[in-house]
Amino acid sequence: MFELPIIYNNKRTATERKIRYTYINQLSKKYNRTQNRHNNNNNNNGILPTPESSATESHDDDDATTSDDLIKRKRLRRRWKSVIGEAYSDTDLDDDDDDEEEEEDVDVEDEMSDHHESAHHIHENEERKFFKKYEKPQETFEIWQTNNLKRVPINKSMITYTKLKKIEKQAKRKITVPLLHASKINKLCFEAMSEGLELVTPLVTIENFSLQHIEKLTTLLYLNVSRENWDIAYRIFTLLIRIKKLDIRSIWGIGVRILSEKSPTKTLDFLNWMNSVYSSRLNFIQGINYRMDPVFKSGSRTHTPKYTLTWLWKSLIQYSTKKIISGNNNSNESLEDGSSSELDIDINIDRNNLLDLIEKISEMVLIPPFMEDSEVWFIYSLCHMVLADDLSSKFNPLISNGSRGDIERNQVIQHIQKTKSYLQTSMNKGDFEYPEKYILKQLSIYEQRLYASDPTSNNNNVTDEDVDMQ
Amino acid sequence: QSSQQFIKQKKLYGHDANILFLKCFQFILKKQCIQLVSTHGFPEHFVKVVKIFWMKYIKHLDDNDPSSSKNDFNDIIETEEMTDIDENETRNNDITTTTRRKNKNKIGLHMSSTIAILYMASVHLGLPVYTSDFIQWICTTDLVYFKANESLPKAWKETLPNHYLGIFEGGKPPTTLQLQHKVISICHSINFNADFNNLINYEGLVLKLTLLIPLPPEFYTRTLKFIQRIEDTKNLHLIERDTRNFTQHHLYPEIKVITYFILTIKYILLLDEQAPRKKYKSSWIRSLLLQHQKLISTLDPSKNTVDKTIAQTVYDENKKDLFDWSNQETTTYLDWIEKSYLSLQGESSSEFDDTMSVDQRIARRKLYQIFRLISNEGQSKTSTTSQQRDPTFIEELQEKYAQLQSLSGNDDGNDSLDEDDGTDYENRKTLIHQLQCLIVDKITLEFNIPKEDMIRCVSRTERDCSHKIKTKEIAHQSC
Amino acid sequence: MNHIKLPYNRRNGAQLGIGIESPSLYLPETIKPPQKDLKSNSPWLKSQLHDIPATIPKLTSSLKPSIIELQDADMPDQSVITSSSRSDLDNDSTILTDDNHMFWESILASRRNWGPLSPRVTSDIQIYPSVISNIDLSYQIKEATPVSTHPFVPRDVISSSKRKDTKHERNKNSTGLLKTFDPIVGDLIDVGIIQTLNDIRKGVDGTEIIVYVCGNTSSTLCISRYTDDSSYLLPTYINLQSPIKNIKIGRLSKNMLRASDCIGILTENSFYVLKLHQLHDPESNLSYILYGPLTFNEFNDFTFADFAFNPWDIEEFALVDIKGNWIIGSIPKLNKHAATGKLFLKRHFSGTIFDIEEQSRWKKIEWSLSSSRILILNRSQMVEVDYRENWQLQIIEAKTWSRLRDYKRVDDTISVLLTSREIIIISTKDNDGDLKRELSWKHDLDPSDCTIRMFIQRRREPTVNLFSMFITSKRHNKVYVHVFSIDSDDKILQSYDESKLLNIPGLENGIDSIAFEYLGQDTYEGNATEPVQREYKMFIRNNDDLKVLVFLVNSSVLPDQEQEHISDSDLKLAEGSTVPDTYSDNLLSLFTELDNKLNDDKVPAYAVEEEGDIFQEYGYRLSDKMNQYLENAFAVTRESVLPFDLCLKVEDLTDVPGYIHDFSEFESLLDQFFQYYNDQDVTFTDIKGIFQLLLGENIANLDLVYNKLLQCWVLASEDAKYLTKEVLKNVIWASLRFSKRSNYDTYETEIYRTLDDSYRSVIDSWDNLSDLENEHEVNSS
Ligand SMILES: [Mg+2]
Repeated sequence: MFELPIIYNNKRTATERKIRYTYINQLSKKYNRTQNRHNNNNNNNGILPTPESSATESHDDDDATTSDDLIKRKRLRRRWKSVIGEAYSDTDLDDDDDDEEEEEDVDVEDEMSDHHESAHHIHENEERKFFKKYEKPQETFEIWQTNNLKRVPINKSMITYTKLKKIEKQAKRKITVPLLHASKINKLCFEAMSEGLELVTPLVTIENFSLQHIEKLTTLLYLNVSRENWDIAYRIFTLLIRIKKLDIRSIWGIGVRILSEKSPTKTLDFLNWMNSVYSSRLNFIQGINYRMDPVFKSGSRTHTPKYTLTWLWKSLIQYSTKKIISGNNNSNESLEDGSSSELDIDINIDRNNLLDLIEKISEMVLIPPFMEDSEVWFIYSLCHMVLADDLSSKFNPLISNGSRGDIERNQVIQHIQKTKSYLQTSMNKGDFEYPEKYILKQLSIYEQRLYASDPTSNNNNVTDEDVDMQ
Repeated sequence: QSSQQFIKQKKLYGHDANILFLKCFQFILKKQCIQLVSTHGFPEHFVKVVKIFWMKYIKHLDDNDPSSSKNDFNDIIETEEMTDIDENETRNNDITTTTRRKNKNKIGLHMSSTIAILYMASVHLGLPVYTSDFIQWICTTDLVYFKANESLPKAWKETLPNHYLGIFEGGKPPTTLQLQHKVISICHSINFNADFNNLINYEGLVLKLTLLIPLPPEFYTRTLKFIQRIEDTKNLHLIERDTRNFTQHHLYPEIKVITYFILTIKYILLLDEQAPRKKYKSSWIRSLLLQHQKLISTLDPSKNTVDKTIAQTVYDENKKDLFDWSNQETTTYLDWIEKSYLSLQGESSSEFDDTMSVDQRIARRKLYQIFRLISNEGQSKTSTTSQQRDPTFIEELQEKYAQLQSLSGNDDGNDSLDEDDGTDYENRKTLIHQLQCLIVDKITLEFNIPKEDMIRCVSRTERDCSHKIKTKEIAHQSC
Repeated sequence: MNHIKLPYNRRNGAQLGIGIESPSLYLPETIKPPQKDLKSNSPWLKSQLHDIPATIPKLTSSLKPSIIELQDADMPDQSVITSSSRSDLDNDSTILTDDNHMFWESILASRRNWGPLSPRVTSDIQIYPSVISNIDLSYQIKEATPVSTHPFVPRDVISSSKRKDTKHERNKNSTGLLKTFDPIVGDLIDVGIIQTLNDIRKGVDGTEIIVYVCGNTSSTLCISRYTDDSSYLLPTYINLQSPIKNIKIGRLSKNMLRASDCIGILTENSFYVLKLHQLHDPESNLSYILYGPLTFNEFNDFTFADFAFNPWDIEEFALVDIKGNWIIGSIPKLNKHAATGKLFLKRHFSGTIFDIEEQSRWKKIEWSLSSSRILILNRSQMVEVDYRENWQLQIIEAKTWSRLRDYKRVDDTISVLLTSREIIIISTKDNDGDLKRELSWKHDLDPSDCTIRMFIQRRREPTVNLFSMFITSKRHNKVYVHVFSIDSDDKILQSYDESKLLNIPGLENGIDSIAFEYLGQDTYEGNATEPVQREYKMFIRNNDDLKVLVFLVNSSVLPDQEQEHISDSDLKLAEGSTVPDTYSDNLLSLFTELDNKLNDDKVPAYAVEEEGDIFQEYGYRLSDKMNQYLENAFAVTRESVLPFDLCLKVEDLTDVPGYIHDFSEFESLLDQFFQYYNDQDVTFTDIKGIFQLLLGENIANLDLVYNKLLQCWVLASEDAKYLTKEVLKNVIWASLRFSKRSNYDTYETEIYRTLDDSYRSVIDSWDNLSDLENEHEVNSS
């Protein structure tokens, strides 16, 4: 019932897709022809295909031809030939000089690949022809558009029954040949599809020995995560990732979740691992039929991978969650009500690690995709905010006198400044929103702490705030 | 980059590819032999016998090879590809669907052919092993079969064409019928019956079946008597047929014996119904059913049972919903995955792919350090603390029999109080019907036989038997 | 804390999944909004919460059904059915077809407490199809005596004797034909509030009703009041003469301050609206006007796929057909005494989202965030239309990584979209009148499963509103549940970090739809401080038949299945009939004969005392024969290797002892014999090996094997000792073989000689196996 973290393919699905896309392409060809005739007469704006999608497509094509040198293009073409229909699995390895593994993947897998070269090509072409029309989004699975400016008048040109039947009849004629060679199942499948029905039975029943066990393990994994059986879930995960060809990019989130329960200290190690092993900064090429979506699974020159963002967030959150440094463990409960202020002295944030994180992000934001990612800039600014909070709350104006006090004060001010500045950068990217008023208010509280005469009044201030808010 | 192009060109084709394929196939075959001898107590000379059969098969290929020299005859040799399992529209023919093409020059080998050859060697030597054993061994990876390509020598793997490599993936577990089908066709190819002992060891098979249910020993002896009576036991031999569309499954000797066993039970119970004093009490039948449906406390499983369960998770169509697995069941399964399944993932203890670069290997190693396998520690802990040794197969069997006995209330004294005195006739009929279903269920599962086929075979055999008796009757009366 | 809000990516919203982080907000210790993660001491406000609060009924992963109304699936008393439109049920009372056997099976599975079933077919037997309607019409007052004059006999038992080799269709894995479904079939059960004009006039609150489809052809609508104590008042049946594809109870915006009085019904060819006038009087039937039929050819020649009611205008509805042509319609006001009315189409408010590439009939239409804005969806796009302002906008294009699967409007501010990849909460507030992708949850369900559908249950908790998404599939009986919460200010939308999986027993063929008991979730009468119901009912409709199961979901921890007393009723009837019930007289007489014979036989062939001599004598004969063989048959030239000589049965050499009293004696005899000939190049089957193969254990000697087997059988049979010995003897003689080793070599050489060179090279590599393997290991390490 769950998606398998492995890319497999077989003849049946390959044929099914071939038939489907051939048919659909035929349909739209025939339909567009009649539409054009109609449009020429009427001289109005057709709705299909959407103007924005074709625009992005042509743009991307240009991009690819200008920026990539000849060799790269050649290589791409070769890839298209061999890889399409397969996972375009390791984009990142492209950068390095080693993509042997991937090529092997394509070749070795038996039922996971299609041996029939010729059929493969036709199908690939039809499928590519279809997908060339559409932009492949990286950030979300679908293209979302809420811009009012893209509104168009209501499409009133309804299709009539007779016209549609005519088109369908023509298109069906075109696929009699591929259907002739298809299996009974695929014929039935096409029939159902063209009648608008959908399949209950999965097109691929997993009977292959290896896949069956992968399927079992996957289901057991989700099941045990859902039941919060962390020990078993952890064990399943350790076993799954040792299976050859398994794509950890489809289940990394579960790994993170399990680790945060089983051994939280390793969570960041794992995310760091993901980030370093799958750190693609290549262009996402629209012309390729990727079998695997990039949304949660990979990154590109314009798309920060989700595991990188998760890694940054997790790091920030982990380093800024105060931990008890001294004192007994029993104090845990009293901590929860947050009432006892003495304990605040005994807990601390992980300042050194935070500084390391800031250092890391400061390097990241120099290069794409991070430099254009508002969320990364937001994290960056929050790092400083946390430090400003921490330093300012530790700051005691009565004790920190003279130059030492100035230095400490200066530090806090700097962090506040950086927080504001990076927030602004994030904001300027235009796609990010945050509760600005709240953050600015917080920052001003931190600043006040530096000049307050009495530390207790500082505390009171905050509690007042708290009351206000509720 | 250049290295990969190099690899591409290294792939062999034509006759050379075929010869290499045969070498690879032989490699796996011998590996299987060695496994059988070392872990399953097969006799040493089993390997020799397998080799002879294999040579005979090679000879068969040689004889049908039109080109005396190894010149360019691309693609003359068609291999049976069972690579795309989903394409198989009918269950029984699926190993041979692709053999349709009329071509004398077929290698005709699939992974199931290895099992067929091993099976034939066992028959020749009279070993009490049956298709169910082989199916179980391959499903638990006790016998190399699935992903056999992973154990091929690297040099061969690199040069063997991909469609051949695909064959060594193994696909899905074969059914008994598919294996038997394979057996008759290989028998035909090597003219098996002419030179070799082709009678199956049915006595062992009946014992296996009796213990499977489990039933009292008289079912064993009576099945034997029945077989000896109805069948010229010299007929229980492997068949040689060329027919591609051989569908008379009830003629496979193993299936024959199984159907005789099922019929014996049926008629014993039927006779018992008519007897004034019932030997097989309703309570006994009921407890058998309960035991099967696991409605009573389950016994500690022996390794044998655990293996069987795991093997059956692959092909059992009515397999237990994963949602109903207990933690213990899950753990047992995971133990097996770790111990056996992972070893299929490639050489050098599954850790690394030989196509990985150094960097990738280092990365993998790091990942595995983050996610360490934890079972080993846990495993050793539990085994030392609880001191509980898994019961052996026979110990479990003894438990099973004892359980049946205690459930059915072993008080022979008060027959008068027995519920089976005809008052609850309908109820008893239902129970017997259920028992028969149960037996069919257990056997079809054990042997991976499609249930419909099994039922068809039983009724077919029953008809044949009835006919035989009719014609024999005169002879019987005369003596 | 009005100014606190989660940071947010305007285009994508929070994109969550298991273990995935999204923008969070740093909230120092001293500020503790209720939405913060209770578990950790973190100063962070995040989009995901870890623990579902204890105040919320925890969904146990394996739900034990309380099949409330199905406990007695008694025949409904005909008199209870008051509606005149019983014709559907009656007309369908024909003999069941074969397809129905699934139904019988599920009946059996669902009710194990049935008494023993009779396999005998009595002459007065009648397979009574109304048992089906009985399941549908489960919402009855249980008052009538069951009409069980016909003995209930499962169909399979009856047909067992007749059935030939009918193919088992239930074999999911087998090659079976593809199972398809019509995606426009929507909810066939709905629970909701109806408030009639009469109610409003009287100042009465709405009434909770349950509406569902029943009848063999699914063309009868059943409406019943629904009350907490699960007594369902008089149901009304309305036969629409055509299979019903979708039913919806109208739901109005909370600004309307009232509930709807309409039920929309889509059948195969028409659309109807049922406007209710009266349902309060428990004594009388409900009164209503049925508007329609509005047949599809009144619009555009394509079947209607979906409809919606305008939440802001009780008289307006929208329709979309299977090609994406949509139109707005209205329900004219009529005199309340009219029995039927006609629906009106506003042709000037129509349009299309037709996409030639889109094959699926699935379409969805729903009101968007204002009275003249609608959303129309097909599998690959979502288009918003303002039919009064004459614009449309393609909000979603899903052509690549995902497909749209379901869409539900929850209330005025929130809608939920289910795609093949995610559950996406779309918010309609605070955003200048635009829809906004607010938060998504990656569900990881099989993206190729077209059958998934989503059902939303909304609950009000003291501080938050909870939305539980239940995702069902027709492929399996599991329900994926994910919970979201929104604070009472509608500001902070969060997702719980866990999804739960429910296993619905007894529905192995998938789930069609789910409906929830009304929990006062509609805000028009809502009161946040009201005590919260900790238990609710969930109605689940089976995919294959019309069975509706009612489950009680509650917070109490369900006890594990205890070791209960076992009775016959716990035994499931083995599936189908697998063994023909017929028998052959010939065989029966043969067995009778065998039986008698066997009883005579149960005496050892000779006494214990004689055994020593018999063994000795046998030993002599055996050696004698063996020597003969070695001299003749095994003195081989190549040509003289005879068939069967390669491996022979020891039993065949000479007559064997008819019985074995002492296995250790027997074993030592054989051992000596084997030992001797072993030196003469003859190899024998290892007896221990035989039993290792049969019993999975290496047992030291035969005597032990005997004892172990005896221990199994000693209680099972009166003649255990004798029989065990017989069994052992049989197995031993059957398995004992011998071969002359050199014969194999000879044979081998001969074949090798005849092979062609290239094939010889294959055989040559047989013995190089170990070399290759070594090289191979070196390589990989
Ligand atoms: Mg981004």
